[in-house]
Amino acid sequence: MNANILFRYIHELSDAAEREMVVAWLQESEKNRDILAALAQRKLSLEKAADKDNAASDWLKIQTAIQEAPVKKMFPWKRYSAAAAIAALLCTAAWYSTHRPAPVTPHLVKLATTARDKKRITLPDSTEVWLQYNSSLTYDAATFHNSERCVTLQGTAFFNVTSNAAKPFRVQTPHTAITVLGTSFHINARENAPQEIAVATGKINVTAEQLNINLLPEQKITYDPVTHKTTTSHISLHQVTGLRDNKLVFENDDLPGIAAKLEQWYNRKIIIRGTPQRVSFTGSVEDNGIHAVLGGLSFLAGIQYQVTADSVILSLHSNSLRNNK
Amino acid sequence: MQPVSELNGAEWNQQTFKVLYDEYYVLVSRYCYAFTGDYELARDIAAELFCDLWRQRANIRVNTNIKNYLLVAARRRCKKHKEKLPLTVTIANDQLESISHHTPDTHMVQKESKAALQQLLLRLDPVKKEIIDLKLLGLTNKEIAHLLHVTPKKVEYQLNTAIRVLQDEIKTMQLTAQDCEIGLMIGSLLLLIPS
Repeated sequence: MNANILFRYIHELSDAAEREMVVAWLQESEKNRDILAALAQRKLSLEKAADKDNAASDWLKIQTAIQEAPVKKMFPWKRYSAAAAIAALLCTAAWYSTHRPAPVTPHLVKLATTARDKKRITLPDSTEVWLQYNSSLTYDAATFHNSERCVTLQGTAFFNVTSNAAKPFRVQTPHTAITVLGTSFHINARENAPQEIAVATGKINVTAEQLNINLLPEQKITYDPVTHKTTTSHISLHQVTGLRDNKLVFENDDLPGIAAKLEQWYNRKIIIRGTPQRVSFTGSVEDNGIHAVLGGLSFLAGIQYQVTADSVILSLHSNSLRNNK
Repeated sequence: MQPVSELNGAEWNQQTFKVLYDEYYVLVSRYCYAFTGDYELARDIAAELFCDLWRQRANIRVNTNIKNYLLVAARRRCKKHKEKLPLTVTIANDQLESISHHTPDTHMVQKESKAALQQLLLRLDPVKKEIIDLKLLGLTNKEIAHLLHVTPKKVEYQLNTAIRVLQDEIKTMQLTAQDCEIGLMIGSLLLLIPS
């Protein structure tokens, strides 16, 4: 009896032919049945060692143990006499008077996405963040509840900020800073690309070098970090919330327009083959992965596509080419 | 396919650590049980391992893969515990406590046969036993080979030999007539389950 086949049978992975082999083997002799019984029993008792519920309850223990760790280091102090403790206190006081108070140890939380996944994050103040591909969001959990709620963003995200007038919410991107009280807005802040910020609800303040502007709903600002050139434009609401709704929204977009949106959405290089034709496409496509989206687009807008390791090549269908000529 | 954050301990944060924990805590605990034969101790060792992992994350670089890294660490810890107190006896006793879902009459006889069946696996040498345990935990031959520093071929050979050894063992075990009956019962029960 091949051991692999037997273990596949135990894990209930075998196909019909393999199952037949095992059954035949079992019928062959008494001792074979004993072996299988012993193995199955051993598997059960191994699995009894831990399950998902144990993992959840043990996690709480581990979490407290982790957080106690720095406290443990301080235990030896308890052994010193009260006098020594007071002396230590005096020393600390003297140190404090000459130096500025030691800052709270930062506890940075970094949430990042890869080229394949997106994330929906809820921050400690219940602000929701939809993090797009290849993006990262960092905040300091130790000071997040202080006078300002600060986060740092690299990449693209949609924020739905919980309203709290006493604690402004601030997003720091490589080139701009956005301050809000309680709104929802979209940010596209990638290195070496124009920064785009668009508002869905409420009012936001955007500052950057040579820029300080307030934006209202359905307004969009594009800021070039190199030339400091800014343009404001109107943008429809469902274009702003597209990221939150997981939908790519196109409005009268030609091929370069579609390519630009795909490039921004997936943070991948899009190459257009041949001369761009006069296509215009309006509609929205749900993001179920780049292949599904390109498949849908190729059907709807008459585009042919090809995905390579780091880029996507778009071209028009040969028949629509002929039509346009 | 491992995300970079898992390979470089210094980059872990609580979220990524939790993902790691969720993925592997159960497996590590079960593997510890395979060594110690004590449910509580197994989970204690596993929990301790994850605690230390977090505390020393700044110094951790995993060059191979994280699953293998964790299992190797678990193995080392269990070995250390085993040196402190021999647990071979408790394995058999512990098995008997597993709850049976059958009727009270069969419960008694099953207890006996279960002990007999358990004895069966204990007759294997430690290497074969560990390979079987790992296989029952769902590891592939390649993963086992990596963990034990042998070739996948050797793992397969050991598994096949283990089955042959078991067949020979049963012959020499001189089971009583009663034991045979029970073995038959369990065998037919097991046969019914997958179909």
